Amino acid sequence: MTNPTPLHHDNDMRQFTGHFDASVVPSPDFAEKLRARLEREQSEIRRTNERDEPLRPPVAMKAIDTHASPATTASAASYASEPNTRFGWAWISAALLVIGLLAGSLWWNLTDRGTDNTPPPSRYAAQVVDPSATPTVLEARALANAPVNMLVTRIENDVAYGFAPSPDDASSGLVVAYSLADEKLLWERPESEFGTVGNIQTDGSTLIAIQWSTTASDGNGPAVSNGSEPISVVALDAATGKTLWQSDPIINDRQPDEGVWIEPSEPAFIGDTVYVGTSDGQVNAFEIRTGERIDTPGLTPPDGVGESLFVQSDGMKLFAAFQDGAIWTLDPSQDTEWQAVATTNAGQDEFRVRLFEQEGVLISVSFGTADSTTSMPSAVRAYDSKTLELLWERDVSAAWQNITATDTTIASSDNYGWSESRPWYLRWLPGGEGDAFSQTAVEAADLRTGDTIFSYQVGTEGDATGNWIPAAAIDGGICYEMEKVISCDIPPDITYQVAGIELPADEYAHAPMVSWDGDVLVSTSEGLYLIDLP
Amino acid sequence: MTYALATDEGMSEHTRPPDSSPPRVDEWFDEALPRIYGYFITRVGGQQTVAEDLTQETLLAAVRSSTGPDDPGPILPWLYGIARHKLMDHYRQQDRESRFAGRPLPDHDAHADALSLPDPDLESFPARHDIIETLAALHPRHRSMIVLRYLDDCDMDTIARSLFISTSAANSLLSRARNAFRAEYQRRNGGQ
Repeated sequence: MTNPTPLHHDNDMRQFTGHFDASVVPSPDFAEKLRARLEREQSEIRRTNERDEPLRPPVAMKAIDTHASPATTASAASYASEPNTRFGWAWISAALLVIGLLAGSLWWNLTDRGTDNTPPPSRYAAQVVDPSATPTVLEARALANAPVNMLVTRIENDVAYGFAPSPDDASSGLVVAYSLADEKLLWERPESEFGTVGNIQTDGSTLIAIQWSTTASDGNGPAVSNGSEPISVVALDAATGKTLWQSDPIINDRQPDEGVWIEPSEPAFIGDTVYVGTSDGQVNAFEIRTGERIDTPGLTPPDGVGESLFVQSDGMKLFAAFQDGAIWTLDPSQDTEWQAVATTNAGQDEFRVRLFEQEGVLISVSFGTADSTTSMPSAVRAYDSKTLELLWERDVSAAWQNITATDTTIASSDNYGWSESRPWYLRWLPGGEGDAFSQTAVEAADLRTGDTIFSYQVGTEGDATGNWIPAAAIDGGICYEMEKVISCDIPPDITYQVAGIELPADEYAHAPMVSWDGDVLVSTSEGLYLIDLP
Repeated sequence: MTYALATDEGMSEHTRPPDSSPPRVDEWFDEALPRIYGYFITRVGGQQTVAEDLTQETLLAAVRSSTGPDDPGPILPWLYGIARHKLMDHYRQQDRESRFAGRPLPDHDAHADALSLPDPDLESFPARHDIIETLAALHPRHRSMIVLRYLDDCDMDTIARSLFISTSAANSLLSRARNAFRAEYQRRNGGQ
């Protein structure tokens, strides 16, 4: 395959890098006041720490050894029991006195108020790591004639359907069908014909793409005046790549309420109908072969919510969620309006909900950002798709948006840290309370019970940034993750690895992974690789 | 045990306090303040009060941190990390406000294929000023994308996480943000 010439002038924006970080001296008055405040603040903190030190012995944080057996894995309790020989008897006596008082207070709280102040058990204390589960001798083979940097969204009959959403690389805007069995590109729709692609999904015979138009609906060029651009739904023949139909824009460039940011959901299929929601509450339905519009009830978005309507289906019903956490359901064959069925994590400031349906289980992942500078407490909940009964729920980090699933297992990467021997969910920023260290793990749980199957630490402690895991593939009960390894050099040396195999890629790699025929398929900016698993 | 104040050549190094607590303010303040303030002032449209507020929030967060940078990590990249989060919080707040207020943004009719930036002399003040003002005029979503990608040189995974969107959505947004930037820049510069 010959890559087309980049069309989006990325290079002319590249010249900005490094030109906007010069020192600028603020006003002397501001500088002096700020210095005084910082010194005051730090003095107060130091005084407080010195006063509290006997009660809070410094704890040596330990990395969880990824190759340790469960019995030798460090636990939260073991951290807290580190001996500290710096204390004299006087301090110990004082500490015991205060601890006694605290214990009494805790007893009073537990007995009189009925609340449970016991720290939650750490999910990370019991690591189940079986080194033999991860094959140590693997090879990655570059597939011939393959497109690069593709988000492979579906494999049907040994054909991988993918797209390149980024104009950063040479394959921008491509939609492709690639035969894995023959290592042959079946068809491609280049960006020059197709425009920027937001997403694709296929039911096996028709491929539905979300297309961000390069021209406004009035023909006057791209619409960027209010942040929303014209978006259409396009149907392609999955066998040939030829356009079957293209809808009128489902999001126009000139929204009545300028300034509102509107985005489409992923396509969801029920029978011969494809549904695409938009964050203004519309649910657009099209007959999949003809593109004929089908009237479908919409939703009223909550005030202030301008994005993130997530629409999913289990093949029978639609599920939808806005940022406010309400989950709605609609059976298009009989319902005339959406039914509110559950609320997830409502009340937190600014968060998103992702829905994910798998084998009769509806998974919702809500991303809270209430304390967005340091932590990102999130929750995953599982409902029975038919009854919407809550099956299980647990706290996770926002990294769970990379959830993947088989018939029995879900898995994701998870970023977390420790504070006072308790887990504290992080994004990646060091610098807030609770950032004793941060870490990334791969977690797998039973789809129907939520019970942890394994939690496997990856990367280096304290560097969750370097271990962000963009995608996962589960096969044969093993979860394979792409690990992004960033060196401490400046500029950093970035490599991508799967199970220890380094794959050629640059920083633009989307690094999606999927399972195929017992193997793992990885697309990077350099090629499409197949890792043959034993 | 030492840590570098900054990654730049010639910047000083300091001995880390033996108790592993965050470094003292007077050890880094004079050198870090203009860097952090300079980071913000170019990213908030040159608004002095906003840059001062964000600088203060950043340095207060650093002082209140229980651990400081990874030992023996340099302190300035750590401060930049905090600063970037403060900046993104600021953009998100603007984004939320724009949803309620419906702030109209500059219009244009240029076609994407015709949108290419001239080669501005970024060492000159007028060109930098133009770019800073162009950034300030963008929708907060577009602005945050341009800042993260082209000013801060973040990779797409980091950007996606920072904006709470998928990598594919981030890539798509980047393309549109670039178009918006170029259109606004050309509009301000007479279509050159």
